This record gives sequence, C-alpha cells and structure tokens, in this order.
Amino acid sequence: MTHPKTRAPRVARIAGLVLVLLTAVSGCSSPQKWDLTNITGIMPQLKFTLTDQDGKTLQASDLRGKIPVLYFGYTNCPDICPTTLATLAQALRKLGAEANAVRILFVSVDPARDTTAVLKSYVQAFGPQFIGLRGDQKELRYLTKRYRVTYGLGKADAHGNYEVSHSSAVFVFDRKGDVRLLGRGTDPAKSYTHDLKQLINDN
Amino acid sequence: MQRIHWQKHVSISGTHGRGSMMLALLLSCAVANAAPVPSVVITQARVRLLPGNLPLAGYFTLTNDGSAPVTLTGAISGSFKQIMMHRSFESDGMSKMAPVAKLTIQPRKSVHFRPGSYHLMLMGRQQSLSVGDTVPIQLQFKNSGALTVEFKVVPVGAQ
Repeated sequence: MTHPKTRAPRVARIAGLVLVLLTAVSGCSSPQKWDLTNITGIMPQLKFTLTDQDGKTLQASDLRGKIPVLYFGYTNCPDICPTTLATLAQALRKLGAEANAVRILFVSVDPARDTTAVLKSYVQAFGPQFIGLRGDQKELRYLTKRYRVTYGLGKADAHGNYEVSHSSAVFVFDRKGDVRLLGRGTDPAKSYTHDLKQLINDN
Repeated sequence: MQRIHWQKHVSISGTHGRGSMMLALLLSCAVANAAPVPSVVITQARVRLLPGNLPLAGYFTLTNDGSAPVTLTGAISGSFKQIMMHRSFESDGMSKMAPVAKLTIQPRKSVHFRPGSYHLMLMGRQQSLSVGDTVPIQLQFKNSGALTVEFKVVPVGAQ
C-alpha cells in the first residue's frame, strides 16, 4: 500500500540532494579562470628570512593571512623594475581597500648598492603595501634557488655603474603562502587586479 | 603635440650697403652648412622620477618627418652627469638591458622610447628634481645636428 502523503516529501528530499550534488559537481567543473599562469603546486611554499627596509628581520611566516607577491630586481634599474612595480601599484589602486590584503615583496638582487635606506625611499614611492627586502648572499641564494630564478651582475664601467640582469617573473602566493600564479612584468595591471581579487575573495 | 622647430638667428647690423648684403648671404650659407637641421618631431618627452639619486628613464616618441633617414647617436644634458641610450628586452625569462650606440629612423617613421623598450638612462642628477619640473636634454644626431627638448618630470606611476 502506498502512502501519497509521505512520498511527496521523500521526492522533495531526493530532488534536494540531487540539487546539492549538481551544485557541487558544477563547482568542480568550472574552475576559476586566471589571467596569469596558474602554477599551483608546481613550486614550493613561500619561505625566506630577509631584512626589510626598516632593518627588521622578516620571515615568510610573518605574512600568513596576506597575499604575497614576489619580484626580484634592483633599484638602479631605470626601466623594467619601476615599470613592473608601477604596474603592480596600479593594480592595487584598482583593488581599493582590498589592496590591504596584498604585500608586494621587492627582493634586491643587488644588496651591495641597495641598502635598507635606499630600499626604504624606493618602496615608499610605490605605496604602503610595498616591502623592500635584502639579504646576504646565502639568504638571497636560498630564495632565488627555491623559485629557480637567476640574476647576474655586469662589469662596472668607469663610473662604477654596472648592469644587472634579473628574472622578469612575478610570483603570486595565497594567504597560506602556497604558490598560485606566475606573472611577468609586462602583464597588464588589469590581469593582476583580476587575479588578486579572486585570491583575496577565496578565503 | 609639442612640435619643435629649429630656429636660426642671424642678425646683421650696419648700413644696408652691398657689402652687408654680401655678408648676410655669406653668413646664412655658413650657418646652413655648419648646423644642418634634424627634421624630427618629438612628442611625449618625459622623465620618470625615482627617489634619491637613482638613475632615471627618459621616454619620448621621435618621428622623422623629413625625406632622409636620421640617426640618433645619444643625448647630453647639464642636469645629468651621464646619459646612455638603452634598450630593455626579455630573453629566456630574464630582464636585460643593452646599450644602443645609434638608432636610424627612416623618413615618415617613428621610434618610441617607452617602458620596457628603448629609453635614455639618466645618471648622476646635477640638481634635485620634482614632479612637474622640466629638464632640458639635447638629442644628438649623426650629420644633422642636435635638438634640445624639454622633458617633463612625471611620477613613477605614470607610464
């Protein structure tokens, strides 16, 4: 004998379950779209011990809860480094108040010229979310090897000036310090804004 | 658009006799031969400001509106100890910079000195600079003289 009164709720319960499952499945089948290159899991978690622009020791673990963006350069670089940092600053301006969740780490590959004082005035020119970092050879090598980036110092000219070649990579991490995205200095600000916004709202 | 005209000032004093007419002709020929004129138009001349005495980048667009190729060989300025022409480029994931000894621009063509490409590297500031200032930089050309251009000092965020 059937009980029409109990069948209806059971159908509704099953339909509800199917809906939940469908939602879950559709959540899996439409992953987030990134403008930058997704490198999740390809590189290790952010880890370093360096000195910031105020002369204080900064470790990657101090940045947990923030979205770190890592870029290697040098302040005597007239063109590419300021262009990349200005692009990132522009991306942050478009994020508005959410930009406070992001920290741009500018790691000098030329610590001989990039003293903490030089780094301080340099990062201040780009914004409050920018951190200038330097370290000794061992500390710097640890980080550059970890992210497989290289750099080279050229020969000094008669004025003592020398050029530095450095990676153009911009690494973006999530709040846990896990690597997520790889950008280039030449990527447009709107790509950084788009992807940073997604990372900020992931948590 | 800022158009730069090359001007020659020849002033002749004295009476308007045959002698002074001859002198005027001679002088104008001498000036024309001694200082050939680059037929170029420079726009968007700017210097991107960085703190301290860090090297700066100078950018501009140069259009050759003459009928012959022009060759840019460098730049000088009383405001900087040293100026070099450079080109930034990316190779195997590395950002690099190479010196540029000269750059030839064909008639009716333009070259853009811009972020991530050609730029003037301005080293050793001889005066303090602020956003909004202008700074004179003389562009030098092979066989066709030189041109002094006022570069506007812009904030680092301005590309």
